[in-house]
Amino acid sequence: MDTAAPARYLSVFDELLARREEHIRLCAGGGKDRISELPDDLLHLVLRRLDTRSALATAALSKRWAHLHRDLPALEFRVTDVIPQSDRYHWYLHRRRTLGERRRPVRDSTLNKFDVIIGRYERHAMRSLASSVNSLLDADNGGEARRRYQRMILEVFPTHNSGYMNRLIATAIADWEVQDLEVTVLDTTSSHNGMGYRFPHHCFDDTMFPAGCSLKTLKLTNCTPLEAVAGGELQPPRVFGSLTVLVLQGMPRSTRNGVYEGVVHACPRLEVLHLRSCSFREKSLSIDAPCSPVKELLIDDCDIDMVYLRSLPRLERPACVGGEPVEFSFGAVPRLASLSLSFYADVNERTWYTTLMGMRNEYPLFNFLNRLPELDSLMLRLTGPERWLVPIGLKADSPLSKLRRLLVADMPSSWDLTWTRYLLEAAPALETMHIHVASGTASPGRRVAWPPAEFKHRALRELVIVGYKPSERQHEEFVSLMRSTCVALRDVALLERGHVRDKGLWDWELMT
Amino acid sequence: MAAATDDAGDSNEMIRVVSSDGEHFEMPEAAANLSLVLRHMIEDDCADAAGIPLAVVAAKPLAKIVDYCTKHAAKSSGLTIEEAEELKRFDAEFIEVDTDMLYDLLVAADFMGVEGLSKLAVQRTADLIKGKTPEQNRETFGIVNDFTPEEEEEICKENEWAFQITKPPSRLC
Repeated sequence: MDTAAPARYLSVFDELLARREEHIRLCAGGGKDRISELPDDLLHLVLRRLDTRSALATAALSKRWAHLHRDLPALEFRVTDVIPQSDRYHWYLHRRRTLGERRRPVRDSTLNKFDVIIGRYERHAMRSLASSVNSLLDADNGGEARRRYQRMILEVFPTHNSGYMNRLIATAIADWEVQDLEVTVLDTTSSHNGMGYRFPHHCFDDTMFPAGCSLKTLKLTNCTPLEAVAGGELQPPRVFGSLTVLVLQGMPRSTRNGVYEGVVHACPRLEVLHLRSCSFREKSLSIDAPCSPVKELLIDDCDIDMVYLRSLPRLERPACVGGEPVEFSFGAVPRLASLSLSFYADVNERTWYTTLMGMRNEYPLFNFLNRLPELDSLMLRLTGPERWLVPIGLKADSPLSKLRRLLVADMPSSWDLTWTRYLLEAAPALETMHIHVASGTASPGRRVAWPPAEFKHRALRELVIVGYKPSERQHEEFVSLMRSTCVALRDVALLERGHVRDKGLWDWELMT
Repeated sequence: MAAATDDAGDSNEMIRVVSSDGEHFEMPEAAANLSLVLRHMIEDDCADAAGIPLAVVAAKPLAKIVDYCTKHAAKSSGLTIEEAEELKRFDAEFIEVDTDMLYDLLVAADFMGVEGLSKLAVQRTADLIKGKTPEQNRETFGIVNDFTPEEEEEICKENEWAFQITKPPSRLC
């Protein structure tokens, strides 16, 4: 080998060589245990690829490894990882669920037997978790090298003994400076009724976090973030002081509206609020938070009828997806620019209300589109076996005067396209209209009367219909109506095949 | 020993590299570009007929790395699904090596700045460790247990979460 490398080589290699001198020395050693000789940064890379349990287990290899795991990106405590004989547990759980779903009623005593067995497995796993968490926290009192984790995940079964969980969460936030916390309370059987878990605010006091708390993202599943506070008069808890993203999932039916509104008040930096599969005691959500910086609100598959956004001055993107049409009342939301709505309804479904009133299960468009003067982009996914929109336009005083882009996606083939006239009429500035008709054999149903010939739309330039069927007379008619109504229409694309690719919840792209 | 001089580089110039123990290797420029260090050397006009000396990489791992880079450079852009899968299979076979070679690859890939290979070797190391008892891992990697029994007990207690056995106590059965 040409060992006398010219000086110009050395200048390039210099820094790297200096950094790697250690390697050369180690390579020359030729010891058998070569992995322990790797520099810390490489071993950290390896540990980062391990699950928490495997990473913690490396501590017992040798002294070299004992403290390496104190700096990991994530720490996960999932109780389901330590269920004894998890195959059997899952078999019991599966049987319990299928029994519960049977049409023929199963005797309560049979179900109880299953619940008792499942409960034993779960309690055993929870005792293992409790003991492990306590051991880990106790070891820290010895003053060893400081731990640093960016993320912590805690998954538990409902329990009466939550002391160690409180202690873990408090340590994670206050000492380890965890930025991203996820707490999931699993609810496998109904036997856990009444046992909930609340975020342990009592473990933090106001003198903590003088420089601000590290917690940025919090995801709680079946776990209460705070007590409902009337009017949000309470001083916001310091531990939520830096929180920017909050996800609440699977909140029980007993949750009061005040809890949801309360968290918006309690988190002065909150920008993103996601509610997933949550239940609402009053079946409605109301937010009146004139000081809140919330920009993004997602209501996903929640059991809810009404949403009152009374005041959210920074709100830019709300979305409501899944479930029956939700009625929206928009108050002071001056920055609301993008809206995404996705609803399903069956017109023939019989509820106590439709039966009592002798009506079909139908909804007017103005239920969820009203008073949105700043709206720029709208995404609608309205589905169901038959069109459930009442043929009435938006209220005259609430046009979507700045709406430029519109997507109507997943439209069932049984819906006629003509109902989109109400959107066209309400949005005089609309430039782009994308319609995606879902594949299906059903022919379009009842048409909606087209506005009189005097009505002209003067802004629409681009119309794209994906899933267009040339053989379908109503499709053809719709296009010719559009051509005569929209005087500025330049680009018309009628595509038989294609789909919509979502770019996040509020933007899209049509793919062919 | 010219480990990999296939037609991958077509019009590309061949880059010569020299291992720490003096062996010469050649690879297409596109392959050499996968290594951050080599790319910088080439950009700085330091690649000449004598070859770029790699002071910390021995011939054995260097042969593997040249192999890896040549394969990946030939298939770098516009992969079809089949090609991507073939590359995956190549990677999986490529990294089936003993711990000595794995160690050499970890160090060499990190030193040469071959990102893909570095990730591959780190993942392989993690896969070897995953789900094993400390005793099994000590055996795999030849790690010597230098704890006193008391220290070992203490460290196992601290990290009890890792050792929670999932065998049931008898009354659950």
